[in-house]
Amino acid sequence: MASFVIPIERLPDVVLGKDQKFPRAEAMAQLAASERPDRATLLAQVLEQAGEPRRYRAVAAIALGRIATSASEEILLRNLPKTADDSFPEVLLSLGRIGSAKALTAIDALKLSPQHPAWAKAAYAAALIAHRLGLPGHELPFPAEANLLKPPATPARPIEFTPLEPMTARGVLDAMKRHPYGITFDPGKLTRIRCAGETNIFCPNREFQGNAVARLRERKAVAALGALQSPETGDYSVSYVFLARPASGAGAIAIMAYRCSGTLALAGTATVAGAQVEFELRSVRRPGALAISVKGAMQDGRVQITEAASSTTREKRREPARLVV
Amino acid sequence: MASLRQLAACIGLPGNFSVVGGFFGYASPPPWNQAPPQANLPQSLSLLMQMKRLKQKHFHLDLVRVGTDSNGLLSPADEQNLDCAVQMAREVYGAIGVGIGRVDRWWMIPLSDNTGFDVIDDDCEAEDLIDDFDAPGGGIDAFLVQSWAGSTVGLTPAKGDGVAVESRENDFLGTARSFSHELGHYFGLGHENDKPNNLMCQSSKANPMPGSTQLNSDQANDIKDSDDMHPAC
Repeated sequence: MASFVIPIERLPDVVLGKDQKFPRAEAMAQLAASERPDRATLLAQVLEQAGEPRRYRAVAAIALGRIATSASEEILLRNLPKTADDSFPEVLLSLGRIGSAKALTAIDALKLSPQHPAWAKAAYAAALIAHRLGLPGHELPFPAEANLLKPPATPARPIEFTPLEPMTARGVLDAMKRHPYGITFDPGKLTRIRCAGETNIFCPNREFQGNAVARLRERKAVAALGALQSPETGDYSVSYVFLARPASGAGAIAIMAYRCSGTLALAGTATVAGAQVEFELRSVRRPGALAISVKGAMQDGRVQITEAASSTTREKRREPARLVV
Repeated sequence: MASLRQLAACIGLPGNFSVVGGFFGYASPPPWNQAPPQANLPQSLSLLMQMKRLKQKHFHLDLVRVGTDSNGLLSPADEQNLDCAVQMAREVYGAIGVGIGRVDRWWMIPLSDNTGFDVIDDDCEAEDLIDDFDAPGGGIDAFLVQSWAGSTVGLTPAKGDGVAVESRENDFLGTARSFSHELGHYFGLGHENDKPNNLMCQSSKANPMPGSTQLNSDQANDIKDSDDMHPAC
């Protein structure tokens, strides 16, 4: 369900909790998308106010990531050492999305142990920065073959891939500006993917199109983003983050696609030959996952699929805990 | 007329049950004193009305509270907001001859599980939450999250495995409308943005609550045809 449009002059009071007529989390999202010069400092007031509940401080951290300016990165960085803070996971995630090499150094300096509740989030955030900037290290483990799912021959559900028309593409990219990951796209090179009643848009990184795709054999990269069309509003937001890194074998690349919150969803390999990338991806075993297999090629941002199918049933889902009353 | 005990058995309650906690499925009865000052919030429960509604088609709910504390609870305001949302949904769906039967509200995803699902980053994360968890109670899974950083306050994925709604602690009426609205999507209803009094009109275009909870006869028929509907008791 879509919420209200909040008058811009009321945003500060709603964000700070002084005006309770509108949803506060929604106000923070609208503030981040606005041009108000005080947006980062207002959100910092929420994030750094220890008396504020996690529900608002965490949203403030996410919104600061969406602003994606050096000022918002500085605010996130000065909150990064608060590793016991309940908004720490969201601070990490936002820095992963927009952070510079300085942010990567700061995450490394935390030296979180694997027992820390946010350790996996920190590893993901560091990997995101390292891939975006093409820096060494910070590689996340590739899943074992046994954890890659394969849809049955029948019953299987088709996955449709079609080039996105330019008008729609511009709308998608306008929406993606509100969810920055530090990469840019060509509106003429987007692909619509329909599966199980859901629409995602595949948005390849403009930096690696044409012959530049060969660079993926040499450096890590955020190769593409997926954009989910909201069934509620029709608007788009990031659903998948495709990370690529050189792998063993001539021209080989490992590809891992993460959901927006950092959960690994798809993994596979690709081979670069000239300006073309041939790829094969399968979904990763996790609760509720569909078994998905996609094979195809991409040339100059255009995707050609040779095989794509999804299972009609899901992996076993988790049972929530239960309070005995 | 069927007895209270017969109706309770019909919706799958055990022999010994409490009226508020079992038959209605609430943590506490109204008036819900943690609510902000809003007119038209429920002030009492009618046992007779709930019994009548079970003699109509009805559906069950499994409520999953996301981000509970070490006691298994959300804040008092969020717990009351959830009960209020269900009661108002009972009024909305009761108006078209559909009841809400068994409400199992004690499922939870504790904050200590570190899923991060208590604060929804964006629609993708709400979908993951609904895909990831399945309460085994046989009702429609409805996830109550604590905040939502995107442009929405509730979502029902096209795949139809449940609904997720933000608990707005300062807006019980708004939360209740979102809750009923998302259930409408779950039953296959689309938006009706040219009808500001309709439940399925998006908030930005709808009349203020409680003037935007109506369902028309076509929508009612679609809801009654849902696979999740149980026959009258």
